[in-house]
This record gives sequence, C-alpha cells and structure tokens, in this order.
Amino acid sequence: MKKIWIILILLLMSNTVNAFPKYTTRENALRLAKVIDKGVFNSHRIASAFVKNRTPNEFYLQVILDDGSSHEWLMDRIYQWALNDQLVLANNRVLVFPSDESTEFYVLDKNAFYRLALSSSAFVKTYKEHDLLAEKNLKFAMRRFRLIQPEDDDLFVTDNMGNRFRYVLEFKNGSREILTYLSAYQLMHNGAFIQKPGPTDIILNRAFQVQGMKATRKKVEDEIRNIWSFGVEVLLNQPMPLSPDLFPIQIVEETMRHPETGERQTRFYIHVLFPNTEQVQEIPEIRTLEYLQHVNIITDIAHQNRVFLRAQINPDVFELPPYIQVTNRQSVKVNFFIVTDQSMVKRPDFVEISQAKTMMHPALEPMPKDTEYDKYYLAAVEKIRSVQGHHSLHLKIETYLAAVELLKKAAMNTKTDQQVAQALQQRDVLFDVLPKMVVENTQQQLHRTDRQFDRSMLLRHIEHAEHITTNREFLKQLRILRSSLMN
Amino acid sequence: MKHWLLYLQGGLLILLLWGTPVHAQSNGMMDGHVLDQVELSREGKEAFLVIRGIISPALLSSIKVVQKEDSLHSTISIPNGFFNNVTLPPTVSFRSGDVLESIQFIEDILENGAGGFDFQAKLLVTSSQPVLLNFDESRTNSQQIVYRVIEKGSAGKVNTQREGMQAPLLSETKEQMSMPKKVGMEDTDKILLHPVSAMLVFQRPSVLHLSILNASPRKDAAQRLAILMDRHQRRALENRLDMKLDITNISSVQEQMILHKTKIYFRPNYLTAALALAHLIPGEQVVEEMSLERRGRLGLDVEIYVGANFE
Repeated sequence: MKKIWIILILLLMSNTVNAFPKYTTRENALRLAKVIDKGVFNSHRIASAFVKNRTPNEFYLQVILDDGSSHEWLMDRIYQWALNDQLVLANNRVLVFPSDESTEFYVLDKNAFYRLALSSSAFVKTYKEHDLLAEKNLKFAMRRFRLIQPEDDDLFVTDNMGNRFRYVLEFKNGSREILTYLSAYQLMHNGAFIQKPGPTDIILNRAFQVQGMKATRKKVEDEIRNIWSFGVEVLLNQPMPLSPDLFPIQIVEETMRHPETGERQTRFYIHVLFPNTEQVQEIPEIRTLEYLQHVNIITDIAHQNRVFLRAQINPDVFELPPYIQVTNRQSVKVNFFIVTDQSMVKRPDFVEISQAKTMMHPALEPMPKDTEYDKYYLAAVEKIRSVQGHHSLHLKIETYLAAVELLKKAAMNTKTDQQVAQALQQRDVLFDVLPKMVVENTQQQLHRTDRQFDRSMLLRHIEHAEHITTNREFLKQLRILRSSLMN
Repeated sequence: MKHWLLYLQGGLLILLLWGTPVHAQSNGMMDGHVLDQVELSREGKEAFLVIRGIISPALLSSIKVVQKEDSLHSTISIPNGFFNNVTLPPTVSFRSGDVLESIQFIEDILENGAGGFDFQAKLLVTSSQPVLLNFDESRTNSQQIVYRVIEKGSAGKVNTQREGMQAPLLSETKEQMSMPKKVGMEDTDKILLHPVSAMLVFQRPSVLHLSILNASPRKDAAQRLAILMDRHQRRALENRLDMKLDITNISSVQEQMILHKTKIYFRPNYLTAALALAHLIPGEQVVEEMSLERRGRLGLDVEIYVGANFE
C-alpha cells in the first residue's frame, strides 16, 4: 500500500514539475497553424488548421484531417507527437521545441540540413556549460555524415528531453557527434558547418598522440621574490597548432580509504586537459617533481580524444596555476611555480584575522588599466619582469631604479589605501635587493682590468643605495666603494 | 666525458656570472640591450620597424643589417642583445598586406676569441616584397631602435650600417625611463597573463563573494551547504582565506542539470580560495576556472554548484 502511495506521489510530482504548456499565445498559434498545414499526422494529411482560444490569452489549434475528422490539438500533444514522429510537416520538415517548458518552436528543413552537412568540410564543436572547455571551440575535419537507423541499437535512443538522436557526424580524428533534430537545427543556424575553411581556421584532421614527457629544469622566475618555475614538457607526434587557452586545468579532490588502516584520505590532483589528443602508448610516470607527485598521462574516459596531464598536489602549497606554453618543437610545456615569498600578498588593512595561514595568489587576470595609478604600476611591473634572469647587474640596477621611480609616481596617483600599500610594498621589495646589487656591480666594475667604466654612474648607484638602505654592513661597504671610485 | 661536460658547464656558469662581454666592456658600462617588443608602424606612406626595449645607445654602432640579394630576407644582428621572453614570442607575424611578413627571433652565443662569449640577438626579417631597412637615427633612443622600411624602387637613401652614434645624455635617458611606456593592449595583456606578473598587479580584496547553486537531485542541498559554511565553517574559512566570506546567492540552476560531483568555479586570482573551499566542503569536489561568460557577472568570485555527491 505504501509503495502505491509513493508511486502516486512521484507520478503527481512528475506531472507538475515538467508539464509542457497546453496553450500558447495568439501569435505562436497562428504561426504554428500555418506551419503544420498540409503536414501529415499518423498517416493522415492535415487538410486545414486554424486557431481557437479558451481564454483571451490561451490559444490552441483546431485541425481537420483528410478523412474529414476534426480535432482540438493542445500544445502538449503537438509537442509529444513531434517528438514521436507522429506529426511531420510538408516538404520534409519537422517541428522542434528548444525547451520542454515553453511553446516556442522552430522548423528544421531536413533537406537543407542534408545539403549543408554533406557539403561541409569541417565542423565547429562548441563545448557546453560545465565542460572543461566550456565556451571554447575546436574545428574538426569531417569524414562522414550519416543517418541513424533503427538497427543502430546504441544510438537509436533519446536525449534527456526525449529528442531522438537522428544523425551522426564522423570526424577524421576518430571522434563523432550525434545529433537530434533540435541540435541539427541549432548547429545549422549557429554556423557550426564550415564549407570552405578560411586561411586562419585551424582544422584538426588527426588526434595528437602523446609520445612522452620530460621534466624541464627548475629556473628562477622572479629573483627578487624568489619565485621559481619548473615544468613538464609533453611531447607530441605532430606540431601543436592550438593556443594555450585550449589547455584548461581542473583540480580534482579524491577521497579513498587507506588499504591497511581503512582511514579516509583526501588527495588533490591537478589535471591539465589536452584536447584532441590520445594516448596510444604507456608513458612512464614521473614519480616526484618538486611538489608534484605521480606525474602521468591519463585518458579522459568521459570524453572523446582527450588526455590529462595529471599530478598529485598539496593544495596548501599550490599558489599559482600552471602556465601553458605551446612550443614550436611538437610539444606543450606546462610550467608550475614555487612561491616562497608571500609578502606581496599580505594586506595590512585586514586586522580582524590575527593569523594569515594561506595567502591568496592571483592568476591570469590582468588588472584594469584605466587610472594613472594603473598605468604607472603596470609600467613598473613590465620593467621588473623584463630583466628577470638577465645576467647584467648594471641593466638590472638601472631598470629597478626606473621601476622605483614609476612606483613612486603610482603611489602618488593612488585612490585607495590598498593601492598605495601595494605600490610601496613593491618598492620596498626593490629597496631590499638594490643595495646588494649595487655593491656587487661596483665591485665587479672595479675589478675590471681595463678600468673602463662610467665612474659617475657608479657613484649615482651608490648614492641611491645609501639612500635606501639602513643596513650598517652595506653602508660600510658602500662607503669603501665610494672612496675607491673617488681615488 | 661526464667530467668534461661538468667542467664546461661550470666554466660557462662562471663566465655568465662574472664575464661581461669584451665588446661591451670596451664601450663602458652600457653593456646590453633588452628587447621587449617589435612593431610595424606607419606614418603616412612610410613604414617603420620599431624594436622596443631597454636600449644602450653606446652600442648602437655595432648593430648590423645584412640583406639577401632578393631583398626579401634581412638579418638584424644586435650584439649584446637579449630578447625578453615574456613579451616576445619566437616569431612575430604581421597582417597580410603589410610590407613585412614575419620576424623570427634567435639568440646566439658566440665565442669571441678572447676566451669569453658574446651574446647576440638576431632578427630574421621576411618581407612580402623587396625592401631595404634604413636605420632611423632621429627616432632611435634609449627605449627603441627604429628602421625605416623602404620598398625597393621607391625613393630614399639607403644606409644599412650606421656609424658614430653618440650615447644620449644621462638626464635624457632617465627622463625617458621614468615615463610609462606606451604598450599595445595585446602586448600588455600578454605580459599580465603570466601568473607571476598577475601576482604583482593583483590587489587582493577583503571580501570573498560566494554563490551556492543547487545541481543536486536533493532540493535543499545548496541551502544545507550554505548553512554548513555559515554556521560551522565560517571562522575556519575566513582564517584560511584571510578574507571575509559573503554568501551572496543561494539558488537552483535553471535547467534540471544534475552534476555528479560538486563543482567550484573560481574567478581568476581566486584559485587558493577555491582550493580552501574544496578542502572544507565534505565529499569530493572539482575545482575549475570560471568561463568568460560567468566572469562577466560582477560581484561573484567563487561559484559552487552543489552536486549529487553532497550529503
């Protein structure tokens, strides 16, 4: 008895939740009557269709079939008949409803669709919401277009809206796209079919194959803040024409029980997606690489032609997302960062929290460039970045001094406390490194055998260094160097 | 063999650390150029190849331009030149219709015969039609090297090798360096897209705006997660994030979309916050970057789609 009640309640709920409207607007009803006129309903030709209404805002159709019978057709029935192929329009067209909650409809001209699909050489696959490639698209070379027949057991099914799958687009990379009438209509009208690719179109013919991977050397990325980068280079069998933004990342939390203790353990893995790529051979795992563990290549079993570069990470030290570089040597480099200095991101104004544990770090979104502050700050950052890893101490000193000037200008053009704090913090980082660099550079120049150096410039550097440092040892060294230069 | 390689590596390292190139030394302190950007600009009918960066005027006289007979390929050799790999790709291609097709950037390390090494930046310029690159002294300064691109056949005196360039006065150099450099929007974005640059320019907000959406078959899942975070984990989260937590929205997704796993979408710069949330929410989560469309919604930093696995 209980079961019957539950079933009844579920039935009642299913009717109320997803009920297709029975009536429509006057305009929609008039358009629908025109469209279905001369169509076929269950092997009967529709002789005529006209609009009737129940209330001033609720319209439906009155249809007369070729056997003389007259029928009232409400919208929910028309929707179901269109899904079940009981209602077919004249000239090989079909009704499609984009939503099961609205009476809005489109008409798919199947003949026009066939002509388009058969004459197209490429298909633009646009990925939907919640896909890792959402809103991005790839262009696949077409191999074959065909209709799904009832004997195609695995494909002769419907989607979650009840739309039956009708067509298959097969691509040269081995993947395929299965279409309903609705998706065929949408793709047809969204420019998804390319007949003649343009010179800038990247058409993917074959899937990229992973040939191997190797760790790239650790290098300093920002020496004044002690940021390092290291990476994994994934080697492919052909040049990679895709841009780095098509290699998105995700971090997946996985919980599993310890095989011996039974205790629950949570682990975090980073996945870097390689689109249109397949793994045809076993790629040896890199067991440990800096803070990454078990770096390997795995196939994405939920999607066609996708692999992941996967590695276990510690979420507490994973501060910056990886930076993807497509090389010109048939490979893609995934650069990871080691951030040890977190002074840049500490905010002095947030006093409620006594102890900052994990610092926020940014990734991949440029700051606005609207204000004078932004322009000066941005110029300073550019200057600092341009000499990272450069061997010439002189160039670095000159550049950092110029950056200090820019930061000073930025600080004088601020509008908020946060901006001024940011500019001055950045300046202080430079102040920390400059005196040591000046000392080293001056010593190097003084040791030159040819004694050809610009004395006045070195003295100017020393003057700057003396101005910004309070370190007694540095001040002493600078004094000695100054007197050496003066003699 | 291994020992020999080690010695060679060690030697190179020492040279890199201590040895400024001989050529540079003979020219005093200004011992190198850092090349940031390359542009092709037009002024009326004239085209100019502009190489931007930190330029040492004293070394300009050693720059050479060698052109092939067909005048379609030229090489600009810049001794003591270094490419800024953050702003310069290996190759720059120009628009079709431009007089230049592309420029490839190559860095050479050459033995200088005195036991040291010279660094040389080479720009391999390919043009769509025969051209001559004529050094433009009047436009060249401590921030740019400019070549007038003259289509062959058109009027113009050609001088592919310049001489006697004097270093600009120090005060002039300083003044120019203190002004923000005008950079193209694309170049600027490119620099800032590098995570380390992004870190330098990021201004961390004091509040994390969070939206919780239900993508689970259980109707109250989003609400339950919001209660869990608000009542039980707020303090821990705020401590961990060093930001105040503001739950701005609790609702269901419009479509009847069910996600198997809870998804956390983060706006760029909020990766660590998303990871901290994933750590604290019970069950398994997937953390991904917000799509461009979602990023357009202001006042939303992190979005949680509560999936079927949330209990």
